[in-house]
Amino acid sequence: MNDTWHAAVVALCVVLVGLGVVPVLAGVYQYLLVPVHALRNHLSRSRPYLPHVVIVVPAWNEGAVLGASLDRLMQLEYPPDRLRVYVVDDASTDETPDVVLAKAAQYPGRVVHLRREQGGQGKAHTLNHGIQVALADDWMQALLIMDADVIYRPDSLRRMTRHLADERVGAVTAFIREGSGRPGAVARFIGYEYVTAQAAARRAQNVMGAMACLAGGAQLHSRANLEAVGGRIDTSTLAEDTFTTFLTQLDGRRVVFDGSAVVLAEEPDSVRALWKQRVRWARGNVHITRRFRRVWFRRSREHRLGSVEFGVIWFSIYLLPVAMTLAAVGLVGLYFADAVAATDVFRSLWWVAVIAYVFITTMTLLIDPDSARRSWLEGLTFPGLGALVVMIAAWFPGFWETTVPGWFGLTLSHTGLVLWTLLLYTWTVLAMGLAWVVKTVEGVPAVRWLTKPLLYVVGFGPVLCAITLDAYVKEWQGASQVWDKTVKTGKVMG
Amino acid sequence: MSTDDERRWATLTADALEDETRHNARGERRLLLLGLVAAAVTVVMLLLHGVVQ
Repeated sequence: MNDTWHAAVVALCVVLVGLGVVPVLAGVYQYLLVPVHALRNHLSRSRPYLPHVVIVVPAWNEGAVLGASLDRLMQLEYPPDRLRVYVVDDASTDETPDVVLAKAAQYPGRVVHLRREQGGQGKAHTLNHGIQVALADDWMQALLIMDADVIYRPDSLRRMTRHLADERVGAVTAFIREGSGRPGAVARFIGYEYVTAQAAARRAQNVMGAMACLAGGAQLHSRANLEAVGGRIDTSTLAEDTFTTFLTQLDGRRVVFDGSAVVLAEEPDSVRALWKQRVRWARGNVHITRRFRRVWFRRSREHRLGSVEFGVIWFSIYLLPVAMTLAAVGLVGLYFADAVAATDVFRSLWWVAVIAYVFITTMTLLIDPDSARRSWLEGLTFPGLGALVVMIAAWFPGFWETTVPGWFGLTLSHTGLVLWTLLLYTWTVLAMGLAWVVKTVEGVPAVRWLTKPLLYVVGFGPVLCAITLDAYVKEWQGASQVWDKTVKTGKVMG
Repeated sequence: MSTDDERRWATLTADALEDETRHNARGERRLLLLGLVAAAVTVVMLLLHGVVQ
């Protein structure tokens, strides 16, 4: 290889590694905006406002969780004469109709049972049934879409409605906190993830003026907004929440997140259930990215969805598995082209990662102390113990190769050193592969006990990356769009 | 936040709700402090790394 080609290969590899830094920097940028929310939030424009609210609860075989949810809704600190709950029973085959009818008798005029005889078409169809009934009555001034299993804190609804006093606001979303009574490892990881993805990220999006998604279990729409987006939820995608969020903003209305409005939800507590749920979400994001392709990176006076900062953050998450893979390819290529340069680039990449990890983890644990108490270990191990080993390798050169073997009077052979170096360089990709192993192991009774330790080694972040990759493969293969319900058991601690 | 405050906010009078919003706005201002703490922890870690190295 002549010098020019060699230089070109080295440059290309460095660029590939550089692409891996972009999502990390985007994450840090998002977190730098969180403190700005102290000064730039919508609370200054909100005022006491208690409109007539219809709550639509889609329910398919939710008998185990529905009774408690409805009781909690009836205990909301909100004027009882301004609140109605429509439970849309999606042709349930369990005791859901009996539970709802009993609650309708207990709270006459406030809980209404709406039955769909043809069920199983998906959440959006179920919601549309309730929305249609609500819109047919002039009484409704705002509509809250929630999930059957979530528990609203007594003060949460009024903290959401106050933002609708500003007519420029079309929709409001709350902070969904993982609230299982006895959470396992997966639920604890989700608890931490929700602080990063909601309490932190959505505050940053408030500052940017562009919201990625209204939480499916807590989205409040003004009547005007609901009518403007067509009076129905889109049924063609697997991300109906995001679709409505985008339509609202494209039509010139704001979407606001209120972190003090807290809603508790039970989340999946197994890797396989998580995988099923998140593949659906990730495929939905593919649909959104494609459907709104003319929105990205195009400035508009009506909305901020086309801003560069929002686009970079959206695509940093969307293409994270690709960026991680390219970074690994770049490092390995560089190793064979110029091993010294590879060492420098590897250290630089992971230096950025370490700084981002410390800043983001500290901030996340501080933002929501309740979640931090439950999930501090999962916060620290979110990137995985494996990634922490790589971080130490980048920060303390020679620690794993010389210092640790030296404690035992050992020396790493040349072959061992090469293999170890390549392991470090490709960890981001290996972790995604191991995530798939974690999911597989969980399905094998004889070795299921390995799931939890493996999950902490691999990390929750790489598991989410692997799921996203799987979703892309399914989209590419044209897999059918099945709306698989995530099974809930009613163990939310209210 | 005291239970008395929560009880008063639950009366849903305009004054009570405005007070609740002011309280929440103060809670948001706490984010400035959290940002500084997180930045300080990061800087301390960098300094410690410099010392160890």
